[in-house]
Amino acid sequence: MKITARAFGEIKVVDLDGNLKTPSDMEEFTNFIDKELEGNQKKFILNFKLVHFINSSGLGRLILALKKITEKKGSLGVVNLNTDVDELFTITRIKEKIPVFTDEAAALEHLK
Amino acid sequence: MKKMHLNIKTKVIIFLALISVAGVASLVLMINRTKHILIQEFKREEMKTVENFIVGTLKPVMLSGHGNLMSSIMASYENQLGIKDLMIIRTNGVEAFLDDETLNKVNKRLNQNRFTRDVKKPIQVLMQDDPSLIQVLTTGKRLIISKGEEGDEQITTMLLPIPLEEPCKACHGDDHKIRGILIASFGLTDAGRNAIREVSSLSIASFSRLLLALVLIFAYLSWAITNRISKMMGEVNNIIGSNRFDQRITAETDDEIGRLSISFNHFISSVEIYREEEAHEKERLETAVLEKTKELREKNDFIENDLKTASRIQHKLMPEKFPELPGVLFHAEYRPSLHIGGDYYDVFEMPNDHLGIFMADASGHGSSAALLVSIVKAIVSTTGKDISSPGYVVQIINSTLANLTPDDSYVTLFYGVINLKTGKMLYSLAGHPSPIVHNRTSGSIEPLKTNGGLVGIFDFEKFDDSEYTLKSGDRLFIYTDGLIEATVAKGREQFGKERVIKALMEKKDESPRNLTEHLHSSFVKFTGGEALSDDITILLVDYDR
Repeated sequence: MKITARAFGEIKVVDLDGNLKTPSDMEEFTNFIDKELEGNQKKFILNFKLVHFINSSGLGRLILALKKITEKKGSLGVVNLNTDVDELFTITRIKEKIPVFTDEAAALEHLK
Repeated sequence: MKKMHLNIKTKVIIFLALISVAGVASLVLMINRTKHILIQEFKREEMKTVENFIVGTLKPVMLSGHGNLMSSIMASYENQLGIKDLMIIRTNGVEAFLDDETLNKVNKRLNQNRFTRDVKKPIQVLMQDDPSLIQVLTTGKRLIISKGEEGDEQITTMLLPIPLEEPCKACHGDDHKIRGILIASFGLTDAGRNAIREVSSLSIASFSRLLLALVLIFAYLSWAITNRISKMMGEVNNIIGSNRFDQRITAETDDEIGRLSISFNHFISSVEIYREEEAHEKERLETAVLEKTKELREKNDFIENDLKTASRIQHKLMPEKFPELPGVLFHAEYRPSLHIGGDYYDVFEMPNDHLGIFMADASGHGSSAALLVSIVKAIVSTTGKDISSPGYVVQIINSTLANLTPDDSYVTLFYGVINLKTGKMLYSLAGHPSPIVHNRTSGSIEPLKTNGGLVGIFDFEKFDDSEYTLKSGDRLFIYTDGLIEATVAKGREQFGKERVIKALMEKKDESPRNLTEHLHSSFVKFTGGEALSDDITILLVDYDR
């Protein structure tokens, strides 16, 4: 998984490229979020445009990230979910915990 | 800056070129020096030749009156000087012999061809008031007026006084002590020139031969050395290329190159020894690896056996047989992706004609997921069967897991409690794929509505009951996400809910077992028989009451 980030003021848009599926994907994702939180970054928008699949462990890591961000009184949003991932978010009711946006501008506006 | 790499041959050629340049430069210097010494030597003796011989008189004179005079002047110097050309010039700078006719006339009077008009190297004509002229006139002594280089030879020009032997009648009483002044230039004789020329050519020839000899010697030496080194390099490359470190190179001579060959052979011997040691070491390592592999295999076998036991235990957690109830038929398939899995299902009878149907899927798979579902099983077995509200049981499971397990571990589950008298089902569907209710009579397809999120994440989460009344002919299809999320080999397309619904509709009249077999074969066809990446569990309940 390739992870890059773009800063918009105090919000960071994190572009995820690849699936959140293997143990190394999980580690990369968790390490990235941990490092950002250590650097006092608090507001995140995860861009799932290039993520095609998340398995149950990947979802677990996403929840873990949400918990850590919430503990630091930060906020998290996701954007550009594909149909499969969107359905997974619906079934598991993750949408009730993490706001989902259809475009980046709306997400940025919400997290301001 | 890039360092230049030159081979020995190039270096020798450059060296020889430098020697040649230095040699030629020394040769030129040597010849010049020799010439100079020779010139000085000749000069020291006598001034042997006169290039120009010019007579100047103090006043314009009539040549006719001075013919004999000139002749006698010539005679007086001739013993000392090899006179070549002679010209008379008047001190006002006008040439005496204006034309060939006058010249011939004078020569005729002198009875010899003494005078000429063809002066090859004209020299300075002195004016009447020239201080040099006046000095010679007043002192009566000769005077050198210039010493200069002209070509390779040194030319000296001097003024020679012509003594007055008797009063000059032609001059009509002029009061002067000398008759006139000769302006003469002196250079080397032909013999001198030849000597210099010969010495020069001799030096050039000798030095060139020496230089040629040097060049040939160096060329031979470098050719001999580089050829031997090239030969040696060929042998070395052969040894290295063919990996034959038992071979040696030939040391033909007992000189530096021969000794270099011997040194190289010593080096090869060391390499051979090192390689032998390395081979032994490799053998030792291979043995060690084999032993380690055996050890690992044994450990792996142990783990494998352990997992098989765990697998048997886990299978024991699932119902061995289903309750025998009139008008209700069950069938289940459980396929873990590893020996043990994170899926769990159960069907159990409850008090007052109630039936519990449970399915859970722990995040991840393998032993960690298996441990999670064991906890779930324990809670359901101990408390769940006495509580008619599935939501309440799920809430207990949720708070237990949220406090006991890591932050990213959770389960998704379906728990339904059916009142067998009425068909009314209370259920909790938490983060789990919706079970499908397919009525085989009407053909209707209806997914159950989700009413809860992931279980075991937030301990404050609330889980409610939803209600669904089963009708006769309903087929309840409950499954875990491993079924619909499986993808084609190396692709993204998922097996999906649609294929499940299609199979349900196609095989509506078949038994639950036949339907499951059909679904399994279309699943294998879709995934290309790839190993499962997640556990799959299917539970079918045919309700015909």
